[in-house]
Amino acid sequence: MKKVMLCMVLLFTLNTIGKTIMIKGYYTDFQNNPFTLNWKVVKKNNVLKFFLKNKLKAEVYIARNGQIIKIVEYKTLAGREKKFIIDKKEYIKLELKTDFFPFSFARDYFVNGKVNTKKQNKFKLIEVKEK
Amino acid sequence: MKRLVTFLLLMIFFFYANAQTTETVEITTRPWNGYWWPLNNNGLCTGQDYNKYPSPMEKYDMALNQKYHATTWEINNHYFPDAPYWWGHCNGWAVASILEQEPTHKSTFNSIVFYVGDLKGLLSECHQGASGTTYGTRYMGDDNQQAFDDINPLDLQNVLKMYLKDNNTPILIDADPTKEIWTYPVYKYELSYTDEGNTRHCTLTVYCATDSYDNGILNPDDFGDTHSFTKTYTYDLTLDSNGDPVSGEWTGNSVNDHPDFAWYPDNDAGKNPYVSLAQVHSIMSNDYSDEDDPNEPDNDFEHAKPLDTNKIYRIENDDYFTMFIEPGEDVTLSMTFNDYFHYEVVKYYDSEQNYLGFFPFNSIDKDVNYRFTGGNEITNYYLNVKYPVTGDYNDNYMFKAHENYTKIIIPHTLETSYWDNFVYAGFIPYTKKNSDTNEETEILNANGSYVGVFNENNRMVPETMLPTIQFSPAFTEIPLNDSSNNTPEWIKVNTTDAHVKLLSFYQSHGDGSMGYFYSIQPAKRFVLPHVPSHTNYWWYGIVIVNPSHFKSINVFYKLYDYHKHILKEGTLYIPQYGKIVDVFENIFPDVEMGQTSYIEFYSKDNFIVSALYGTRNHRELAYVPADSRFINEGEKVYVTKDLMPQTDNPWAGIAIVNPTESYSKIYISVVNNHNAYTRYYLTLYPHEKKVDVLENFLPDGYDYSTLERIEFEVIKGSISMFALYGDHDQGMLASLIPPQWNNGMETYFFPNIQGHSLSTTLKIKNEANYSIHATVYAIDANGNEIEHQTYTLSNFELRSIDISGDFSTDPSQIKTLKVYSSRFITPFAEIKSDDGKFYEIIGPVFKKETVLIQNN
Repeated sequence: MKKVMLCMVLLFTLNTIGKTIMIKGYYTDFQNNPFTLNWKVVKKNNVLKFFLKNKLKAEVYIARNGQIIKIVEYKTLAGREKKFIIDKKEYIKLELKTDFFPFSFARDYFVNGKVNTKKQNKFKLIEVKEK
Repeated sequence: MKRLVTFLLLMIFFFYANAQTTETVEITTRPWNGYWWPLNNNGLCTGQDYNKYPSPMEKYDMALNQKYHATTWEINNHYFPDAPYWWGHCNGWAVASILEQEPTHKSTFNSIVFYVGDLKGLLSECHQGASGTTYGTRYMGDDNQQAFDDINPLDLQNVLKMYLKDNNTPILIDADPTKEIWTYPVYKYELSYTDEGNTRHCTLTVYCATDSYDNGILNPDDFGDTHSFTKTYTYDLTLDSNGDPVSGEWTGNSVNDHPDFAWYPDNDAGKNPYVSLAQVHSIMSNDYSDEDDPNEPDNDFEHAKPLDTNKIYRIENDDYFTMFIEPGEDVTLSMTFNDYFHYEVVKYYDSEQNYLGFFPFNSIDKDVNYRFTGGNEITNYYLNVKYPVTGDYNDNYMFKAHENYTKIIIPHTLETSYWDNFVYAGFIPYTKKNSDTNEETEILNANGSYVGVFNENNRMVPETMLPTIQFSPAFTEIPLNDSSNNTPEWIKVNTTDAHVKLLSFYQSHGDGSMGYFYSIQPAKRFVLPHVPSHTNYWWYGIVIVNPSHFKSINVFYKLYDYHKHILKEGTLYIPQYGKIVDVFENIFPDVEMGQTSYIEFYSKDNFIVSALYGTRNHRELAYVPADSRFINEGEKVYVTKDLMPQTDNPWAGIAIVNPTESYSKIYISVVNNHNAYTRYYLTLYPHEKKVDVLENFLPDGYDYSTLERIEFEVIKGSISMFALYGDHDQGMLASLIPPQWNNGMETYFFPNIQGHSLSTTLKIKNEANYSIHATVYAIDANGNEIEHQTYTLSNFELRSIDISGDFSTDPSQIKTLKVYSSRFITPFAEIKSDDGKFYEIIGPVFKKETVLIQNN
């Protein structure tokens, strides 16, 4: 049974290797004005890379069981780019809760093969590109 | 012994159980202090509460030679004198303070000197629209208690640990849990706690950089050591069986005073489209330079240049300017500087270069200023700005002219053999009412000085008018040309009273078209509600005037199409006293007139705009002054059918546009000759226009022959509208800004135009469904009422008043006709030639007002 499961995971992983998806995020600013952001998410091995305006903004590391085990964000600080690492379980949970980056949404797509319909108000899958 | 051991063990247990644990974390890269630039005075564009003139935004525009785009945008979008006190750029500054390196030296870019404070302000503007990862929900002031309670203290504690402790990174907090936002960067925290059972009692102190310096403002050279304040919060965390916190809640004062949310900017964006972060970085990278300003005036009397109060000057040596003051002008000219001990910085001289004095220092406004008042003739002056101006912030300077008088302007005059252009002037009496004592004073005349402007540097006062003339209710023709018979470009009256009125009439000698223009006040925003689409039939011209001889101005324009989109936008530069007049296709050569719905003009300075409508067969002409006032929510205007020419084939058209960014709703009442009202709503979306002939404003099946008038009540938003009246066969055309609906008891004034082969017929329309009385007064050349007649008009009657038959006074001695009724009437004057070639109507625009004044 374990072998069958591993085979399924492998098949699915192979299926999503090199895939790029485009996600539109719907937000409101602090004055409650709506705005949107177009995210590009590229999967390479067990890492999801998140791009905004063609700039790498974050990487999400996914374990075999589909759990996010590490997030690396590329933040600006005092004029320089800085790696911002989140690897504690409670901090990852906190970061996922903010829903600024479509981390969970992309993870669901690449791991489960479908998007979380509950989050369709916040994010929408608008394009899938095969490599 | 056993007891002793037990006691000691218990003591040790309690000691550890209640021991306080403390953690202090501070990051190595501190945020920098700046300023939150409140929107109610926005020093970024106004200089208020900062370094006055020039403001950081003005410097940016000048350095990039972009004609005040950034400043104007900022004034229009981020400067609201009535804004709630907490609106400002705190988020822009807070984001800049962590994302950007602190500016630490002044720099020179295209001869403009930027101080550290200027650069901090520009960086704040560049980051004003940032958004990003947000922990907690913003509380909007509603009944969402959950949004008020969060950010949950456990989440806040984790955020601080994640950012400051694990990643050596600051975090932004909104320190106010209410709907107000006060954003600050946190760079240090102290956390102490004691455990009691499964509860952890926590005290958290956060260190935030301040959004100003010690005196509550930002000085131009403020940088360096981080000034900070602290906020201390208390909360309890609930621990699981492993001693790990799983939830938390605020305690003590922190229940109502805790951060609303925390965030870090991940999507950076400025709001002002005319300020670029890359450009600000480029300015910051420059060093300060001692080079002289190539744009500054030359350095002696001989090379003095005309003063331009919209220019930023740089002082490296003495600067000399020329300027003049007209009769009737009253202008306070000021210059801000920062050295209060050497204030003989601006000296003024007469045209013979004789020293007259210096601008005295004004301790209230912290500037030097001098009030110039006009004499009997135009007076020329030289100004000299002395170098060196000692002090820290005097590399750049600007003058400001505060005009303590009113300009009455006709923006267009004509000098060709084809046109006969003549001008009438008069004064509309009004009642001045003291709002404290209710004491009323009738104002019957005012003084003013009449000035013709030939071009930006050449002007005259007609010799026959010098030095001051008194304007009375007697409308009188005044000379247009000077003694050499030269015609000015445009004309103005300098006065203290806006009730002085000018009318300029234009008659073509060829095909018989006629138009007229009455004076309007300069404003900062105008709308031309309609550009004709039948370009084969209509020509359309525009005239724009800069009414100031102290400054050049930039006028921004937006042309909207019929899909409510911007077709074209751009800028028109107008020098001091300059005028732009041309047909549409020459002003906007790359835009199809037929695709243009309407035009909006705006500037940070006052200006005047008007449209000219004409037919290509040259038989019809009408001037339509641009609208700066608009018809706003709660106001009601109307269009009367009887203003149409009483001919066989008359027509009337109405143009209405919504020039705003939100929808407008109009309650339209169609009134027939039985006083029956048929009502409907008209909704206009942003930038939508409705233009049509009068009958198409009627509901389906409505009998047009019964129509008396249409009322337009704006119940939401603002609109701009006007009406055109004409005749399909006879080449008549007249424009009208629809008058305000009223209940009567109004007094109207009309010029009795004579000569130029014209005669004036006064007409009165009874707008009521019953008989009314209206009284007509004849006013002579001295402004006195010499005779009156009262008329009885039946319901909805249109009556032509026979001046020569009903009045004993010779009509040529009557200069003005005054009309009064206690009921709702529409009086108007029909001015035409006997042969019908020339035709105009003057609507009920000159109305007596009551002006409230306060003792103080």
